[in-house]
Amino acid sequence: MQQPLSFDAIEIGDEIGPVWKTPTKETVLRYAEAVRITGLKFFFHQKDAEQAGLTRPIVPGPLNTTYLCQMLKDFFVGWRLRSLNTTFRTPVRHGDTIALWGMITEKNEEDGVPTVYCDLVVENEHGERAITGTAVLVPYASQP
Amino acid sequence: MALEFDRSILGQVFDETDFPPVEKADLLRFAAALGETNPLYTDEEAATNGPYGGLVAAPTYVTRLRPKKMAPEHMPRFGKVGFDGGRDVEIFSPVRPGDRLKMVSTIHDIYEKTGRSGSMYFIVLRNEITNQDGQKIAVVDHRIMQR
Repeated sequence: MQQPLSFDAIEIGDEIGPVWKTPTKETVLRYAEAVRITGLKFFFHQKDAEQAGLTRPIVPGPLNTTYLCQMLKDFFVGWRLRSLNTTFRTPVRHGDTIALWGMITEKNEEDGVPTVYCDLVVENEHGERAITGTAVLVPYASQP
Repeated sequence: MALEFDRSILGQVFDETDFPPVEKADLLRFAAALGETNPLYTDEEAATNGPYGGLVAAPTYVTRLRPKKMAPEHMPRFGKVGFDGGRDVEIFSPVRPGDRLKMVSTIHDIYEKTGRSGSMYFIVLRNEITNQDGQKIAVVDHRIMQR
């Protein structure tokens, strides 16, 4: 079991990641089955993607968001996600390799609860920012 | 010029959905689909010794919940096409097997932004999720961009 990350060990400017992911059609199908996406065929089929004005089928935004969440969980051992705000800027297409990373932008104690703020980015292989976001984390011990 | 629409629609409940009890298998399937390896979400026995005392859903599980009615009947339209503009998720309590979740949906906000390519209009649909004890589980804001 990994040791929890201590609040004192966290510094503003610390980088999180990068982590790389390459969601494929199979990844998207598995996710779609788990979350029961049945319509929105541009997530799956080339023809439907083209009809929606896309060059290739795309990855559902929430799946990419989930990758960000996993990166945070792996970095912040012993902490829980309090909030995650994401803006989808450019679609991620099947087979695109995306890089996820983040940076700690603020740490303080709010009502005695150690709280850490991060900026987050998901970038595609062309250097375009597919998702930008922010996250707030607190220790598990602050679980209500 | 301020964006014109009937502001009385803001905050009005357009859907209330009660979900069937959360199944452990569903939580495990969701975690597996994400390639999740954290034992809190994947290993019931290990999770028993974790901070929640048992298996819980991966945090973004709440984004998979969909209301019966995805949008109000008279949702304003400001453009020809709509895109998924992003999600804001605030998490209060974990989802556990057996939970009976309820989702209440409202139009939370409508605003306009102007960029290089012109005006973009954002409609924020808010889903507030509670469990069978009335405990707040999460608030998920879904931003739809129209242009």
